[in-house]
Parts: sequence; C-alpha cells; structure tokens
Amino acid sequence: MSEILLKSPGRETPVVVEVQRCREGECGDYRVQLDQDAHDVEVICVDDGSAVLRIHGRIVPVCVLRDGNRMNVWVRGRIYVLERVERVARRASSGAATTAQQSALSAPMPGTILKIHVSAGDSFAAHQPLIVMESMKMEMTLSAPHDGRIREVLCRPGQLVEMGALLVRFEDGPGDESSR
Amino acid sequence: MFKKVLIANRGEIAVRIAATLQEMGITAVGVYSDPDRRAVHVRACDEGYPLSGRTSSETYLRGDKIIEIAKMHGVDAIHPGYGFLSENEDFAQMCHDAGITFIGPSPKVIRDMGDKIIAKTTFAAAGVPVVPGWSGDASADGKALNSEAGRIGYPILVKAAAGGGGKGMRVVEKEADLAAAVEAAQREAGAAFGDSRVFLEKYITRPRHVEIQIFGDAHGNVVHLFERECSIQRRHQKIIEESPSPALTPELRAKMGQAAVTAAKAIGYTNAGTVEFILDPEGNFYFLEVNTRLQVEHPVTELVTHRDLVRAQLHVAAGHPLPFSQDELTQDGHAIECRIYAEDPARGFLPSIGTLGRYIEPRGPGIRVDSGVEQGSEVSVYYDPMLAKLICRGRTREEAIEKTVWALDRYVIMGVTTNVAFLRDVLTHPEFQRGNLHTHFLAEHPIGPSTDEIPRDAWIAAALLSGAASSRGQSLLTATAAPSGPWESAGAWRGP
Repeated sequence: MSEILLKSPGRETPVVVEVQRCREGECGDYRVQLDQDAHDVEVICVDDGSAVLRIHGRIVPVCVLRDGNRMNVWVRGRIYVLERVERVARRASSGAATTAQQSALSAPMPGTILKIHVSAGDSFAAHQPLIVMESMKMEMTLSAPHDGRIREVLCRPGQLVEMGALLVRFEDGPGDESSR
Repeated sequence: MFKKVLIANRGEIAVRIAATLQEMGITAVGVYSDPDRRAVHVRACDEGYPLSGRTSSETYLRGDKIIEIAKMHGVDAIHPGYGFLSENEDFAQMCHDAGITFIGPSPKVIRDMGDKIIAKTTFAAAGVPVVPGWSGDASADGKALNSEAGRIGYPILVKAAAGGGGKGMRVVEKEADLAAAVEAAQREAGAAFGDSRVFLEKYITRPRHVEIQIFGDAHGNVVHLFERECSIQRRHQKIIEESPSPALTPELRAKMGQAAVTAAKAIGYTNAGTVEFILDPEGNFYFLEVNTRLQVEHPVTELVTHRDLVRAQLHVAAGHPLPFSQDELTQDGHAIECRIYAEDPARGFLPSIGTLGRYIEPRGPGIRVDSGVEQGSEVSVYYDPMLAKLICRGRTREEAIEKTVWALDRYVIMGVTTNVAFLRDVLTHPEFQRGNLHTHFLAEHPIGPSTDEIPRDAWIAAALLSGAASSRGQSLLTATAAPSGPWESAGAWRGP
C-alpha cells in the first residue's frame, strides 16, 4: 500500500490517493482509493510516461510528464497540472511570494527589444507602456506594474533577450535606504 | 516535369510539399537554419543544405543564399511554401534571372497583388465590390488623415499596404486614437515587411471572412475551387477554417467564385492564389486582398475537392494546362482545419516555447495531420509557433465537427502550452455548431471548459505515474512496452 499526496497548484489541501497493488506480476491491477471511492484500475499497457488504463471497464489513455514534483497530466485532450507533496506540511513558503511592489521588469518571453519609452530617472505611472518588444513575430507592450521611478535601463533597442532577462530596474519604495 | 525542386521553407508546409514531390518522382531539396538542423522537414526531403544562421532574416528569408544552393545542386524549380519568400516579387524575379522556375505567379502579379492599394484598385476596375476606404499617404498629413477617416466613418481599420497575417493592422473606434494607431501600424508593418505604408478602410462589424481558391495556368485558363470560411480568428489570424462555408447559398457561391475568376483573368493570374472577401450579415461581399501563394488552409480545399493543390501547382509551373476544368470540380462533403499553435489562450495567446516532451498525433479515417514536429522537437522563439494542422473531413458539417473533436481529444502535445483544448471548446460552442460565425466570434463569446475541476482519471493517472508509489522511488509502472509507444501514431503526412 502506498499513500500519495497530490494537490493542484494554488490549492492548499492535498488529496490523498492510496494505491494498492492487487497481485504480483509485471504490470497488473491496482486498487486506487480516492476521496471516499475505491477504483479498480488495470494497466493495459505502459510506456515511460504514457499508459492505457482501464478504470471500472473504461479505457483511459493517459500521459504524465514529470518535472520534479510537478506533473502535467494529459487526459482526453486536456492537460492538468498536479503537484506531489510530502507528508510533512510545508506552510512556511505560502504568503511570502506576494509583495506589493516589483523591483524590476523582466522579459515575459524571449524576443527582441523594439522600443524603450523610458530612461533612468524617469517617473512612470501604473499601466504606462515602458518597453515594446517582439516575440515570435508578435509585438507586445510591457507596461508598468505600479507607479514608480526607473533606476536603470538594462536593455537597448534591437537587443535579443532571453525569457526572464531583466529589462529595467525600478527604484525601491520611498522608505528604502538603498535608493539614494 | 521538373527533376529537382527546392523547398524554400520549413515546418509542416515543407514536409507536405516534399511528400507530393516524392510521389511525383521529383527530388525534394530541403534547406535549414542552424536550429533546424535535425528538424522533421529536413529528414522529409531527399537532400538538405544549410542556410547558416538562426533567425529567419539570416536564413529562410535569404533569397540569395537559397538561389546559390539551387544553382549549385542543379535545382529546376523552387517552391516557396507560404510566408517567408512566397510573396516576394524580387525573389521570384531572382529565380527567373537564374533560370530557375519560381512556383507561383509572375513577379509582376505578386508585386501588384502584394500592394493592397493596387490590388483593391485592380479588383474594383474588374467590377468586384470593394470596401470604402482611403489609400492616401497616412504619414504625410494628419489633417487629411482625420478628415478622410471622418468621411469613411468610424470604426476604421488601419491596414498595412504590404500586410498579411494581421500584422500592421489596427481597429480605431474614434478620432482621438487614430494617429497613435497609424503610428503603431506603420512601425509594425515596417518591421515585418520593410514597407511602412498603411491605408484606411471602413470597418465592417461582425463580418465573415470567406475566401475563394483560384488557380490559373499559362494558357489563360482560370478556375476556382470554391470557398473556405476562415472567420474564427484571434489577433486577426485564422485558427479554424472550413469548406464549404455555412453562410453561402449556391447562388452566392457562384457569384463570388465568378467575381474572383473574372478579376484573376483580368490580371493574367497563374498558379494557385486566394481571393479573400469579407461577407457582411446581409450577404454583401467585398474584396479584401489576394494571397499569391499556397495558403496555410489549403488542405480543407484538398479534402473536399479531392485534388492535390501542390501537384497542380507543379503542373502549371511546368507550363502544362490546369489538370482540372471548372466543370470537373465539385465540393464533396465538409472539411475543417484547426491550426495547432504553441500558445496560451488563457494568457492572450502568448506564444509558448519549450521541448515537446510528449507528442502523439491522432489518426483515423478522414483525419489528416500536417505537422513539422515530433516528440523531442524544440519550439523556439525564432519561428512561427504553429506546430501542425489538423484537418478532418466528414459527409456533413456536423460529422466534420464530431470528427475534429474526437481527434483533438486524442492529440497529445506536452511540454509547451497549446491551443488544443481551446479549439475543442470553440468547436463545441453552440454558436459555432449553428454556423453563426464572424471574425469577432472569439471576442464576443467566452470560450472555456464548463468546469475547471480536475477529473478523477487525472488524479488516478498522476498517482500511478508519479514516481512516488514504489519503495525504490520509481514509478509503480515501469517501461515494459515495445520501443514504439503503445498507442502512438506514425504521424507522417498522408495525402488527400
């Protein structure tokens, strides 16, 4: 009997899935306990990451692509993201990610910088267009996430940037010592 | 007939063209950029030569490099596919000058039709209805711009003269936004086409996009292969196309077909082309533009007419008469094409990049997949994010929709975000099923799954394949199957 904890990202409570192998053999039958229901699952065939299951007689092709504890699960034309969680609850990290102000603007996609509307020292208002870039032949405008002032521009027009590359750095909030 | 044809393109269209060339006993020559060295389209060809570089402008847009390769390897003709050099009259001219046949219309026709302002004037002169508009120099005089826009009446569409695919296009609701929209359209057009001229057009609310496939030969024959409706668009780009259009009566179809053929004859059109129209809710149609190339959505026409359009292109380019007359052509059944994009519909259709960790194409009777990727392919920032096209044919529209939904449900693409589930949600939308289409369909109708609940089967699959369940940290299920997957398909292009 194995107990597996899964949750969908953004949800706090994990779902407990109990998997029990019914008999010895290569690929055989499992009894899967999910919520209050038990499911008889037969594995018809399997190939690293994809399988055809029979769940209460229904034939269900599935694919799972793993990236650490995160799994993309393909079922019938749709992909669901699930996360495997350990038994020990990890509450510490939640909540810390939400900060009111960003300190920089980064490229949401790899691409080419077309136009920079601001320079160091400029003030800007929330939603003001800061940078125009082109990615996969599509032009997109990156706007200010909030009011603020530019500390530094880290890119130039024509430059090819990677995803996540820092494009401009903002001054920190008014109370911060490091900003002059 | 040609002995050796170079395909100046990549991805699914290069694979699809190679298949017809090989069927006809013609050697298919592929070219590739550095990132495409191991791409599917290279292996689909009989010979492959490098275009050193990464970006499109360093590789697939370098007509000089391509012609050099063609000359060096004894190529008779070049098929440009769509996009890249397909509508570049200079490249067509360079081919002629090098003694190589360009598979497409003459450089003059490409130039005239590529200029939307000239195209519109030409078609209007041939008696084809055109949308009211203004084609003066938008950059020169802000006052003239505003007064002309006022004369046409808002909303107004700003379009690039050299445009296509929605680039350099802006809808303007009021005068205050006009100047900024013109500037943005000019910048985008300049970057995409090297020509920043734009023009104004009356914006028709809730139009359908209906286009006529035309074909001409060097002997003066021009026919049409009926229509395709391409009203389902996002960001002015088509994602679902079908033939026949649910909006056309036989009379309207004949009228639009005749208008396209008359105008094509007037300009001496040869090879494959598409005359795009917009159709208003009252059944009035207006000329939009001509695409002087094989269209992305040509397979829907192939599936209902049972003709291979690439084969016909080669015949005509080799100087033979058209392999079909108007009387021989019929529309048999209904076909729908879905463009499969690596993009995220939930985030404004933002392109998605990554490695295709899992890729399994659906297969079955009446299902065709034209693709240029396989499991393990890298979807990069360098090229268009279209991965494949799923084309399904049924006896009726209902049957074609059912088949497409079935196939989408069995299409596995993992590792990048795709629009597969979104396409399914469009096809199952009651208004789509009723055939009530227009180009703002996606903006007007919220599209999405009926529930965001994760189905039971997904939890069960995740638990069994999570790698967590065994004592040794392996998945409960270990690989025991044959090297080819248990239910995967070959994925090769299958002809119409």
